[in-house]
Amino acid sequence: MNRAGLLVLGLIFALTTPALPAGALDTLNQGKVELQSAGALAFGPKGILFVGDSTAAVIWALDTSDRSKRAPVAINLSGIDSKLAALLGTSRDQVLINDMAVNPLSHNAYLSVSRGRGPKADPLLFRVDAAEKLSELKLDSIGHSKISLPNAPDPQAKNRRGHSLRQEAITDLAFVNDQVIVAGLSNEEFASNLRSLDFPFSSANAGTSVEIFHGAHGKFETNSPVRTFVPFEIKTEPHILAAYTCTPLVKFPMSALTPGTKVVGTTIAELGNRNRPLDMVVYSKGGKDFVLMNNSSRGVMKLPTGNLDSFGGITQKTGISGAPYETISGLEGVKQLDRLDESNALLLLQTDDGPVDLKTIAFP
Amino acid sequence: MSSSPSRPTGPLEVARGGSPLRVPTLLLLTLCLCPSQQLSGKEPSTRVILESAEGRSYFRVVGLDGWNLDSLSDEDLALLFAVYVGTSSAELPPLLGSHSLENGSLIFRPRFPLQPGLHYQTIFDPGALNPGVRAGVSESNRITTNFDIPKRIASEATTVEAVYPSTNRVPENLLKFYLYFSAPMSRGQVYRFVRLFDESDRVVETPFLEIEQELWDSDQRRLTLFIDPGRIKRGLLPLEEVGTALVAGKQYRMVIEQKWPDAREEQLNKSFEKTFTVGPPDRAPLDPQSWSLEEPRAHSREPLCVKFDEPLDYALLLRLLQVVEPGGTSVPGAAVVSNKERLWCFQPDEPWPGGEFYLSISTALEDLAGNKIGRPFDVDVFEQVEDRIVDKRTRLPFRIAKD
Repeated sequence: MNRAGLLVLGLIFALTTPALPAGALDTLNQGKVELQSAGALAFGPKGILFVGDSTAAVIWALDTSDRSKRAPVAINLSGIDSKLAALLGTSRDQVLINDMAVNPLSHNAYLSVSRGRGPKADPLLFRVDAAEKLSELKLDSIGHSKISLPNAPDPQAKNRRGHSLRQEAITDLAFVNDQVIVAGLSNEEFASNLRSLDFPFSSANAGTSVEIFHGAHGKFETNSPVRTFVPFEIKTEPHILAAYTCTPLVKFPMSALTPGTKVVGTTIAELGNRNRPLDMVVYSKGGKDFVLMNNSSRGVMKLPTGNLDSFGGITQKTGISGAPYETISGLEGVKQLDRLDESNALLLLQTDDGPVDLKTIAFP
Repeated sequence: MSSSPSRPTGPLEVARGGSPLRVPTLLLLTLCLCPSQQLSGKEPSTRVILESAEGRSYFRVVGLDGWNLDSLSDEDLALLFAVYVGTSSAELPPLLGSHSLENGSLIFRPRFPLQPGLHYQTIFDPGALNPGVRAGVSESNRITTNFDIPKRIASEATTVEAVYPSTNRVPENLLKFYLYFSAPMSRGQVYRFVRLFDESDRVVETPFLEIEQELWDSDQRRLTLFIDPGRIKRGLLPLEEVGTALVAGKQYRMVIEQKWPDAREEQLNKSFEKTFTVGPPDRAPLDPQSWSLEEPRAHSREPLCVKFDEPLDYALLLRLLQVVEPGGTSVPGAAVVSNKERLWCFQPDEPWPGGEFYLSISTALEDLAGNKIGRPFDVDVFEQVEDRIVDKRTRLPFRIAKD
C-alpha cells in the first residue's frame, strides 16, 4: 500500500448524528398512517424513521418520538419470529421480517414486518428496546410525512386488465446530507433507479433519478441497478459504496448524483459468484475504517476502506479481485445487519428454517 | 367456527369445592372482583365464548354478573384476560388486540383475524392481577378455554397460467422470465420452488437474481425472475467462475414445484414444466425499422398488427406501445401479444377514422436479452465509445386509407 497516497477517510456518516434542517419535525403531520407494505428502513436524525413502502411506491418519514440519547445496551433476543407470531396471532411461517434499523440515538432496534405472505399481508413496525422488550410502533396517530416515488416510464399505459403490473421493489434506503437516497429495482425493466429525495419532503421535488452505469473491467457497460449501498466519506467528500445486482462493489461520489449526467461507478471489488451483499455498515476500529457486509451465501465479510480512495478500480480480468476482504468465521445466516453503536453490530440471524434471533456482536 | 371449551377450573371450582371464605370479608366488600353469587355458593357461569360480527371474530367473557371490573385499567384487563395462539407459555406474549367492557361482559378483539387451522387458548386469570387490585382472589380462579379455528374449505387449486417468454428457444443471454398464476401466491420463498435443470437433469445452481423483496406485481399473480446479471454481463467474475446460467446449444427444463403454497397456503394443482433450448447470445439493439405493420381498413375495428423480427418482452410490449393520432392523443383500445411474442395487435374501441397515425414506442422496450432500442444490454465501450442516448420514445408512422 502506498502510504503517501493514503488519504484519510473522513468521519463516517452513520457515526455522527446528521443535522436536520431547522423545523423538519414541524413538517410532519400528526395523524394515522396506513402502510401498504413495510420494507426497507433507515433512520434519519431526531428519531425519524424512513420506511420504504414498495406497494404504494411511497417513502414515509415517521416520528418515532424515540429521541432519548442513552448508552447502548447489547440486544440479544432469541426466537423473535415466534414472539412476533404470538403477538400477531399467527404461525411462525407467516411472519416475515423485511428489514432492521437501529436508532442511532436510543440504540433501539426497529423491524419492518409482514403478517402473512399474500398480497394482503399486514405491514407492521416493531421496536426492540434495551430491555429486549418487543413493542409495536403504533401508527394510529403519529407524526409523519410521505413522498410518492416518481412515476415509472409511461405510467398511463395499462394492460388489458386495466392496470399496470409494474412495481418497483425498494431495495435500500439511506439518509445523508438532508437527502433520502433510494435504490429500486423494477419488475419489468433492468435499469438503474437510484433516486435522491430532499428531506423534508416537498411535493415540488419528486426526486432525482440518476442513471448509474456499471463498467465491467473498463470494457462492457450496462445501465445497472444498485441493490444495496452505504454512504461514507473519502477525504471529506461524501461517497456511496454500492453493490450492483451483478455483484461488483463500486464507489461513486455523491456529487455525481445530478440529473442528466451519466454516472459510472468505479469497481473496487468483485466478490465472486453466489455472493450478494445484503447489508453494509461502516465502522472504525483501531484507528482504521472498515465495511462489514453480510452476504447471501458467503457469510460476513470485512473490507478495509483505507485504500478505497487510492483504489483506481478494477481494469483487468483477475480472480476474486480488487480491495481485499476477509470472511468472518462463525457468523452464519446473517439476514440483516446494522450498527448498534460505534463498537457493536446488531445482527438478525436465521439458519435454514430455524428460529430468528437478534444478536449483538463487537465489530470484528 | 367451533369452540371446544375445556372444563372451567376457575371460580366454579372454587365456589363448589374451594374455600372462598379464606378471603377476608372486609376486602371482599370493598375491592373484590368476584361475583357475589360465587361467594354465596351459587354456581357462577363465567365462561368464554367466541363470537363474530361483521366478519371479525372476537372473544367474550360472560357470566360476570356482580364482578366489579369498571375500575380496572386497560393494562389490568389485559392481565385478567389474554388470548394466545397455540397454548399459553411464559415465553411468548399474548395476541395484540383491544379489551373493552360491554353490557356487563369483557370483550377481547384480536388485532388481526384469527387464522384458519390454528388453535387458540384464552386465559381468564384474576390471579394475574396485582394483589392490590385482585383483592385476594385465588389464582385457582383461572379459566382456560381452547378454540380451534377450522381450516378453510379447500377451493380450486391455483395453477400456473403461463410462463413468458413462451417461445421454446431463447438466447444464451436471456434476461428474465415472467410467471403468471391464476390466483395470488405467497412471497418469501420463491427461489425454493422454481428450479432449472440441465440436459442431464442436474440442477443449475443459482441461475436467478435472488432478491429478498421478490419481484411481484401488486396482486402477487405475476413473478419476475431475472437471470443473474452477473452471469450474463461480459467481463464479470461470476461469469468467469461458473459461466453463463444457460449455455448455447443445450436444453433446459424449468420446474415450478407443486408444493409452492399460494396466498391461502395451499399448494398448486400440479407442478409446471417448461422445456426450452438455448441459442447464441443476442447482443443487437432493437430496430423498429425492421418491424412490419399491417394497417387496418378505415371505418373498421380491425386490429393494427405489428410483426417483430424476434420475440420481445411480453410485459413491456403490453405497456410501452401506444397508437397515437396525429394530434398526439392516444387511441383507446386493447392490445394483445401473440405468436410467441413476435406479434402485437391493437384493436381500437371505436372504428378507425382513416388518416395519419403513428405507433409510439418507448425506448425502454426490450427483447429477451434486455437489448433496448438503440442500446444493447451491455455496450462494448471499446468498439462504440460514444454515448447512445436516444429519445425516450421513437415512432413508426402509418396511414389508414380513407377508402
